[in-house]
Amino acid sequence: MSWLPKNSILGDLDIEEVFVFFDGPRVFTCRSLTDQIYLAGWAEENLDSDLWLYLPISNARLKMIRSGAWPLKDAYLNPEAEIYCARLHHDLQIPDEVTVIDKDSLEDKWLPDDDFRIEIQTATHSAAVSPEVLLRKSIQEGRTRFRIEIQSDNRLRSEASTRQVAAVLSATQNVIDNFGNIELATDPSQEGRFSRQVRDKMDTDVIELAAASFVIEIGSSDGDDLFGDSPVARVLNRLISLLSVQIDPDSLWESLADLKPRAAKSFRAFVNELSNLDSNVTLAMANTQHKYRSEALTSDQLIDLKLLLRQIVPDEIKELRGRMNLFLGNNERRNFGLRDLYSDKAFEGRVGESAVSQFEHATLGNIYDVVLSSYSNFDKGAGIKSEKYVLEQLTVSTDQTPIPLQLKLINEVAAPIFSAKEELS
Amino acid sequence: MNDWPEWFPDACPPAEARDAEGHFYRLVDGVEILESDFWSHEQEYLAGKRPRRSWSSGKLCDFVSCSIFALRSDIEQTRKGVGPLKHKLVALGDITGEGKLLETPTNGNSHHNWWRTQTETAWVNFKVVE
Repeated sequence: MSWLPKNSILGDLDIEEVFVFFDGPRVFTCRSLTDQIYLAGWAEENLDSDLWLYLPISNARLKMIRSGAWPLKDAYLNPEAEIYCARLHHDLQIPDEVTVIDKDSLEDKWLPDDDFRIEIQTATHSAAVSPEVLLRKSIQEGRTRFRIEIQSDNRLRSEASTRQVAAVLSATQNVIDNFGNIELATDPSQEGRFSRQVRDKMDTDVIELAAASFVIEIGSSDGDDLFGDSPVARVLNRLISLLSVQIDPDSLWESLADLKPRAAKSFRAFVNELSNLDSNVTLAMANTQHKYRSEALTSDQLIDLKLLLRQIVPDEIKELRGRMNLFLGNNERRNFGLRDLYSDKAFEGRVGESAVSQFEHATLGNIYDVVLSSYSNFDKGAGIKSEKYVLEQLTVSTDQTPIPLQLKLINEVAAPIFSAKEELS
Repeated sequence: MNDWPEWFPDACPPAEARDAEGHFYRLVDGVEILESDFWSHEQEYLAGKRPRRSWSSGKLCDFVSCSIFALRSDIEQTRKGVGPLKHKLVALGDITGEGKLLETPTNGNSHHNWWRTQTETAWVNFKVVE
């Protein structure tokens, strides 16, 4: 004989998923031939029979129960339809009896404890599509898709904190704008609003939310060109490269120096927001040219990266303008040495991407009007403050008169609308 | 050679089951622990206590085992979830002996199937830990 009632109004049933097992399934779902799902629970043990409760349940309600949003008891106390009471006799000559009972007739001893919850990871959205499908969609739509996949152990449903999602989305658009500013602007501003061209080209839209634990997909508002290229595609490709877990700190620093302070800070802010999720995160992009590429970072790796960025992209970044003598230069290594004519202070560091072509044509011993970025770092171990310099601009000076160094703090952090962590604390 | 009852299904316990060893939790009916607290469904059927009702034709070997848990939190969670289990007591004992053991988790918990031989007496080691 079957564990489930036979020849009853419930129909022919098959067990689908067991939630509680003790000497057999005690709480489980089963499905009838007509596709009705029942949540079944053992209710009473008697000398001559067992009593079971069968609750017809919708998929949506089941997901809430399965993921622990509702205590199991509440499913019985707030049924979507009738409750069936199935009595299975020990004497197999007596047919199984199934009757409808009112929820007010439920006895407390039949039901689980008030606080008992089934807590299983449950996809409450349709699952995110595979990388192959993501790429196909991107090609069909003729635009770049970017995916942020958040894997949280703390979330049993495909849901995420509104605050955190808002912060991540805001930081994402911000880093895209900032990287786009480097990509598109001839002289990327380090403060103020981005140009209309940058904003238009870097616009993205949220186009999909999916499960696993939670997936956000955004797509470029502008399409890719015939070759599958676009500013957004280049920016996202660069962003994912920077997140590579294999990248060493020196290479990361060099890549960020090429981005200039403002974009580097926006990258730091972006990583901060990902780290605040306290989850494993996978970032992926798909488009015709770059195909599908992704970087998966554990929550620990995100914390490590956040701490590293705190060191190499400090809060205090200054812009220095002055008239200087080029006394050292190596095109291959992209390093320089400049001495300020006014203060006689020497600056050595790396040649930023924006100054490479100017630097290649420079002559040792000549005087130049110079723009440098200065990254201040406090080395806790050594107890000293160190400075790293990046050459941003090098222009031949027609005037050799020393001028005082102009120093400006670049304070514009690519700040999201708000920090989820701050909101939560 | 284990002395398995002749009413065990073929190839039961399964080959992947290991020798029973270690401390486990079981729900029992009272402070005075009886062997019947460890009876499988088949034993209850043979004792005339219950009919033979199986939950799946492929699970006949489960039908001759009894449920035990490695973690107290898991057995307490199980007890909270089912009306007729709520009045049962948690007992802990060393199952080292002639039996076989297989980890059979439900949703990742520490549930195990324990198959006992005809002469298995490890159940006497169990004590209520409420």
